[in-house]
Amino acid sequence: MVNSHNPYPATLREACMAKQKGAVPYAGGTDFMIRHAKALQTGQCPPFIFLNDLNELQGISNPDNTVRIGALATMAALSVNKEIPGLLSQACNCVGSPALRSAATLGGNICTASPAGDSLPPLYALGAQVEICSPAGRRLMPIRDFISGPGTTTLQSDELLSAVILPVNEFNEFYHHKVSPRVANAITKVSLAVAARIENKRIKKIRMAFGSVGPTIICCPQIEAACTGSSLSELLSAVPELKIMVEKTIKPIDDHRSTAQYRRSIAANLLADCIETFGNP
Amino acid sequence: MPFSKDEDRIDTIGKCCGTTRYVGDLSFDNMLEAVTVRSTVRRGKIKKISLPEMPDGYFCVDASDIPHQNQVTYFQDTCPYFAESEVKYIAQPIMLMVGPDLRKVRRLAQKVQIDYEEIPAIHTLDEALEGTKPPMHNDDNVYFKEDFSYGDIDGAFAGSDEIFETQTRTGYQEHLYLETQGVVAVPETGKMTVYASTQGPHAIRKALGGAFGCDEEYFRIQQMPLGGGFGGKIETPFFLAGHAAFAASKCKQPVRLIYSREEDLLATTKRHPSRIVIRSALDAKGNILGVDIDVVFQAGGYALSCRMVLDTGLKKATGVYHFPAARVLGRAVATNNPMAGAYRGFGGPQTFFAIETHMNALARKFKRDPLQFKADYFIKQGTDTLTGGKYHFHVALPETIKEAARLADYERRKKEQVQHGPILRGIGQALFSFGAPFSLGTNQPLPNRCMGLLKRKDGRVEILSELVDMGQGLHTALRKIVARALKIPIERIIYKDADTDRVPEASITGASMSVVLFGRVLKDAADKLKPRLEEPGEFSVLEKVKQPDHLQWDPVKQQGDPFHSYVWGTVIAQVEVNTLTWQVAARKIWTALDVGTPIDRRIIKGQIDGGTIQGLGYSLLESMPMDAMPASLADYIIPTSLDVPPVESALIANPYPPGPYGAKCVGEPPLIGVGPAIVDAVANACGIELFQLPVSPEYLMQKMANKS
Repeated sequence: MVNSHNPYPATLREACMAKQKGAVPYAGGTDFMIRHAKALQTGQCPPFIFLNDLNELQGISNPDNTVRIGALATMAALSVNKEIPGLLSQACNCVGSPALRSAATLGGNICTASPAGDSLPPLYALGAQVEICSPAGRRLMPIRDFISGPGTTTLQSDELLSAVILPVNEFNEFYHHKVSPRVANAITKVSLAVAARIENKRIKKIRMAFGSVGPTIICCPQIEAACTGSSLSELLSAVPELKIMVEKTIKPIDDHRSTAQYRRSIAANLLADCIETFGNP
Repeated sequence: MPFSKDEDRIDTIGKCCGTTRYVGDLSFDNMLEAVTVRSTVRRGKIKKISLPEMPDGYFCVDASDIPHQNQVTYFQDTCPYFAESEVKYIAQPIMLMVGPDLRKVRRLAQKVQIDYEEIPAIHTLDEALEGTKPPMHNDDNVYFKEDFSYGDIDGAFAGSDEIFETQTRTGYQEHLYLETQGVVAVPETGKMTVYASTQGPHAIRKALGGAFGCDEEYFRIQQMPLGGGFGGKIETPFFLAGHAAFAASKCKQPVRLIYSREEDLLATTKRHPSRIVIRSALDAKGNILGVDIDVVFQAGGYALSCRMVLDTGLKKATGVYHFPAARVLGRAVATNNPMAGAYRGFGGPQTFFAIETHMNALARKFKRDPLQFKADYFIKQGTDTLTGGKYHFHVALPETIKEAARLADYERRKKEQVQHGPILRGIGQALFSFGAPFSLGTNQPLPNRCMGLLKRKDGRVEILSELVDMGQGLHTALRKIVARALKIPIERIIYKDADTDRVPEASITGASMSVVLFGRVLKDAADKLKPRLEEPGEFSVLEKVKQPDHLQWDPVKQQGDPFHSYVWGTVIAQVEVNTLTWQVAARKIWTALDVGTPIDRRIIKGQIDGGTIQGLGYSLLESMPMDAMPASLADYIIPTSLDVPPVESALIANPYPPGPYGAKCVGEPPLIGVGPAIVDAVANACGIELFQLPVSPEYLMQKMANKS
């Protein structure tokens, strides 16, 4: 426990050191408040560090044919920013309610590492890298290596997620569908994000990621390999086989929100819908 | 029309501006905060309770602190305030932790260690009836059982060519009032005042008198503004009022007890889950000869109001129909679940879902137009009720059908194409009536009570009634009735939240009886006051609460007129089913309702819109297991504004002579028909029969897989 810490660090270095001593980083607080509701009610919360003053975590920029998104960018900002790939904007606009989107941050959504995190499937599909900083410096790693399990990441105790780097112009067609129990403000039951480069009605490159159907976001290298090089009409006729591949790739469970059977069947339907959307624009 | 102008509700501005003070906003000097320590097991014997070290000024309060009896005397069945030796559901109150700092009180409450010897728990109504677990009530787990019948039902089945059977199921529904449960108990010299968010202040006073073994007048209950009730603030407040009063009595300090949302979801009453089997005896031409209905309601660890809820549900079980013969059997069974209780509709949503789904399925089976098929059995003026009474007044059911069909362009839409790409579109209907009981006792006549008017020195007239405005607009409606009878502006009519020291006992506010029964009593009082209005000084005119003269009810034989008035209605719903995800979206809902004379059209529209949306949640979203409650709004899904379709409604003028200016009721009816109408629409879109609420995508997907 930290005895006297500054809850408003002015530098990343200061924030990282406070975190190492046990303080909990607080950005939008939308997940934090739910996870720590009991502790809040009994006044037993760990010490916080509020990150909002840290300029290094803010802003959206375009270095070297990429988009760099500061970890504190809110879902609301990402929903409307023209620099952000539409696939990610659309997913961020599906998160919670307007009030929640105004507070929730991209960095928080990533570090929460929930398989139902709505920004994650697009980030996986777009090939996002995360930028991690510590008193020792910065490092980059692919998001799929950063998230190690449900609710866990490879972030070290003195590290903070500082930004997300997205390549641009790698893909030209996108698909996103979130299935949730009601139209808005609901936790995802199953979702799919797909990014593809399609030239002359042929798949040059495709990457897809499913949400809420496994312990983490599910990537599909075999399905991607099966699709790459195919023409759209070939893909359309391969839909039955691809649906079976989806059902074998994902690892859904029964829980209080839905059933494994439903998630498996709907995940397969979403890929079929994606291919039909690409094939019949 | 006697009431052409809509009045602004007096409570609107405070609620919109945030200035209304609810019970949770009250604070008193030396006030202590209370937190309930609850059972963490479904069923078991309490072996040992270990308390943490208690700091100075912190107390625990349990059954041993109850002055007289550990029983909520409002209920005739066993119902302890605190568990003593055994627990029967998760979250059953065991004790209260009390002290000045709420967070510290919560920490102490967490540290209470309770050891149980667990007993195999009964999880569902099916388990309760199967008898595979040790019984928890008598030998059969049946809290309450009753039956009604008329005609030669056995003969109808013996002479039938075919028997058509459906089994419908419905789940829990949470009231989800915005304001969670709360009370503050304040000990005073020779008295105790309890500030409460309740639908029945005098009923609480009586119950406290029972628990303390003292004159109920020792207690003064001050009704606080309600942030919603929907029936949920009838039963649970008895517990809170008792708990806080026991604590205040022990500590001799004011005690505030406010539930967190998680606690409110987990521990308070819900709508009864149901399983209803309906069997129709059919002749060779498909005519119904008789209907046999078996209703099971799942009650929780204690019976609470299940007698009343089941009773009114059963009396509505034959729907808007009079069959040649009918038999209705009902049982409310004990399970180790959250307690079910009163909820808008009071048993009607379950039984109407069952009968309308059965009738719609029968019409589809015979490829008949459902409205024509059903019309052969419609109740008419003069028809006998299930209980041998009469429908004394005009039955405006056909007018509601005609009006709803016109609004919805039903005949045209019904013929529209179903398939639109991946979307299946369907339209459905349901017919309902809503009988309002004489009293919350449902099978007892109104006790001998009164309410009235106080003519004040300043010329204003105060309504002396404990009836509660829980957001339904009741105080505005009753002020309008009195203002009209007195022929004075509504601004001169005052209606304060009830204070049991000032207003006489009348009734718990519920069962949609306030305007029709008590509005009439107040109108009669106003008619008596009218000629004396110019008299100087302050005086009151009290009027006895009574039911309309034409009604006959024998509470021993359970025969006669079961309800004092009937609202008639039709709901039409249009839905779209997404075949990619099997999600159902309601696109539009039309309701035509006969509420007698409308007292205030805007308030009525509010009740219709709200009831329809609550019914929509019940039909499509509010899914939870039969034996558990989610303790978070992340997982208890009610409609957001984006889930709600346009709701278009129309009123049919069918004045009810005994009601004030011909008014009937509107509180509960708009919810009743929504479930069966939506299920009918989904069935028409998908070409299958559905028998369960809510229609979750998981359930629909499974049914569609079975179809193909």
